[in-house]
Amino acid sequence: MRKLFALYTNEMIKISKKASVIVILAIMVAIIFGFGGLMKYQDSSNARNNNNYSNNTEFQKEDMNRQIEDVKTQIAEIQKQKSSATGVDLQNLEAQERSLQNQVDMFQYAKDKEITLSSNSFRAQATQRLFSYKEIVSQLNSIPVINLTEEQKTQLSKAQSDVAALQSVIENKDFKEYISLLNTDINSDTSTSSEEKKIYLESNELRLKYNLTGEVDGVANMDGNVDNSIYQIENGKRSLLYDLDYTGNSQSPKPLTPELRIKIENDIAVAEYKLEKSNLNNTTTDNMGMDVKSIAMPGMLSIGRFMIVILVMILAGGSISSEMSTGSIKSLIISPTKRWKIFIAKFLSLLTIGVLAALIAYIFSIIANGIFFGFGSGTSYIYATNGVAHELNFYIYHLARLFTDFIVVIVYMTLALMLSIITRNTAASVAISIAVYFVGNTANSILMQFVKGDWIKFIPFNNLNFTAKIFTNDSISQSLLGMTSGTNNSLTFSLIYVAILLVCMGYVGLDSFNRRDIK
Amino acid sequence: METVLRLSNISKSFGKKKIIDNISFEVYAGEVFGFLGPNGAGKTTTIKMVMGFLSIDAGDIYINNFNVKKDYEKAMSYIGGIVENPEMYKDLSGLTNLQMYARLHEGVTKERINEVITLVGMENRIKEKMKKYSLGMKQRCGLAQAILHKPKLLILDEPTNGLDPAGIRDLRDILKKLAHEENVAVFVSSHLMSEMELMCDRVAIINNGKILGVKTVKELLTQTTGTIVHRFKVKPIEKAIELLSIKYGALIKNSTAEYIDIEVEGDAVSEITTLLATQGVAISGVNKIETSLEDAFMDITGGGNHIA
Repeated sequence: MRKLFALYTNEMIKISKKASVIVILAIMVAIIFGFGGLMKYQDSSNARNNNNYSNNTEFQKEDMNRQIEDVKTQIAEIQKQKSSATGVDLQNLEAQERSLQNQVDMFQYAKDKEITLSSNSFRAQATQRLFSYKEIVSQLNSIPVINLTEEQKTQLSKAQSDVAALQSVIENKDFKEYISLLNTDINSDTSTSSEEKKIYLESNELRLKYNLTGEVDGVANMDGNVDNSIYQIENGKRSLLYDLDYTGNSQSPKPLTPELRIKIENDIAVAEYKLEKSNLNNTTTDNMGMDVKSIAMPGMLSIGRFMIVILVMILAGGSISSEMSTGSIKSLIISPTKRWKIFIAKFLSLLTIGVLAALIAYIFSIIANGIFFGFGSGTSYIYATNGVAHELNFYIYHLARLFTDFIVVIVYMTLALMLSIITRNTAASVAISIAVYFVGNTANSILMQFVKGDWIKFIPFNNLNFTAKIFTNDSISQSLLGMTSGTNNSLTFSLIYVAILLVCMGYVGLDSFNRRDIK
Repeated sequence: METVLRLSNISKSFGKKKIIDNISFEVYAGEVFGFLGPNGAGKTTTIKMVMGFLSIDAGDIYINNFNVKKDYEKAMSYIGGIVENPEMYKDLSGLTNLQMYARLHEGVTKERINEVITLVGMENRIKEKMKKYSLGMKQRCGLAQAILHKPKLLILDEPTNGLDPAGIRDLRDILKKLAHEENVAVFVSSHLMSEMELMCDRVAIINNGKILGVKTVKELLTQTTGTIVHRFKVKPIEKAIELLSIKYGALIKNSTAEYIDIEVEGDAVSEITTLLATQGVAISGVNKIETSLEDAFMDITGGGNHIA
């Protein structure tokens, strides 16, 4: 151990004197700041555009007018056809005309009340409902009263009362009343089971609890994330209730596997936690959002990781071959140390440099993020275990994420070290490992387009994306998973695979080094 | 006598080519042992096997009675040395290089490092980077590194390469002092025979991967002192050969356009000069040729022309 430590110390001294280390680290820090600045610029120009858009009510009114004109021309068209139609055709055309007229009324109504129909605002939704009831009313009114069935009569009276109630909701901006109307509808629905009804009622309770009006100060809020959370919870609960997966493709749900059941339970916990949290912070965005701010930190860190891989590949690729070519390896071999100790010491020193570089990347990313977006701006990562949500501090989360990514660094480092011994040529080993790093993923994803089969899960590139596998609630790493990997190997499989890969590469390198004659 | 290095039946091949063929010898504490041979004879290959650079195909190497194959680290801890050129880390200072090396050995103190630096005369420039050193300075640093941990066996491959005459003399003194006063076994390889003659107590001669003999320097020299040769510079040479062939024909060792080498001494020399002078052959010079280790070496290796 003493000797190993001495060798390790010597290796660290050697690496510390290399100019390339300082140069690459300096470039890394520069790019991190550059990327941060770019994100900041993007963020502020986005904000400008958003302000222009949401403040421009004139634009929205114009848009509304255009839609009204559209529908009106359709009505004129139908009126033309009506003059030549008879019998059933005439009735159909009249029904169409009524429906279109109803739409015109709706747009007009929304315009007058300054409601953005396409938003998640409860008044927008109430308006849509209001006019769907109004259409029922006008349809039933077009039939002579004597001809109405009992059923239609009750339907008409209900629709009429609903129209009145919704109108009062919109007039008074009464969210509570709107929710209770929705609840009444749910309760009166005879086709759904009482368990499912309970789920919908709970959702409405959440909406009421967190006052999810979809509006801020009477203006529609374009952020749909909160509503998504509610639907996520609702779909999750339905999936658990019927033991069918509604979270994915709800058209043809598949039966739940035990793992999926756990995942859904955890997802529900996370969504509920996020709702609670966004209510406390009085913000509507959460870490599901893909806004520029939330990309900045992971972006800077992946640039950092990229540079770290380059750095360790250059160092590892030359660690033994360059000593062989300059002959300095002789002063190592002359010393009374077995070669495997030299190998391990080299490996450990490279690892240390990698870790130090990662910490530098991390610290400078925090500084850059702090300077450009404020030091308290990061959103924490929320995850759940056994159906209980936990929160991981922003800084700890990104550190954990960076060091999960570090597994990849170790793999490429070992590859370069192995090549360095086998080829005895620094340029070749660095070039090959960099080529594998750059081209490998792309070549792999192209390969995936053409080849299907079980064996593709044994391709190394399909087992390196650990962040996406561990931090499953991070939308950014999830989107990366979709991009780079076509297979969904389990975390355990990938871990075992990478462990075996590392041992194999390490063994090949060590064995070759042990046998190598130093000429 | 304490045996510090023992090679027993060592062989080594590169590919199909046998570089070292079943060699055995011993090096004792307190002697300077020379390893002589022409280029390509297998000197460096042998040294590299002793120092653990190359694997050993057959046979065993013992250093201070530790088998290199079995007790590698123990065996190696008694060795210090330079193989070919002293290769150290160019971006680091001589001092850092020495400190790094010291770290890999037990019991090398700061004082010892300073002592060794003074011994090789590098105290003024030891803190400069290695790449600024001349070859001679690198040699001195290499030597400092080699003796830093007081090895029982000091191995130097072609140590006089790149040294000026003064440097060579200094090195010779240091090595003799180490061997004779500090009881170190010094193992030196060279193809510079004249240098070995002045430096070594014993020599092993190697050619084509085989040991041709292990002798003390004295033995080697006396082995060939039975034949003292005189060189006669005469003109015309043909006439001289004709005159001498009757009585001394068998003793003529060599003849060129300018001189004749004849294996004679004492009275025979004056006899020959008188004979030649009276017969009208002009003698421009007569001198005795000393047999050196080099000649002995040439004799044994067959002129050193069989370079592998």
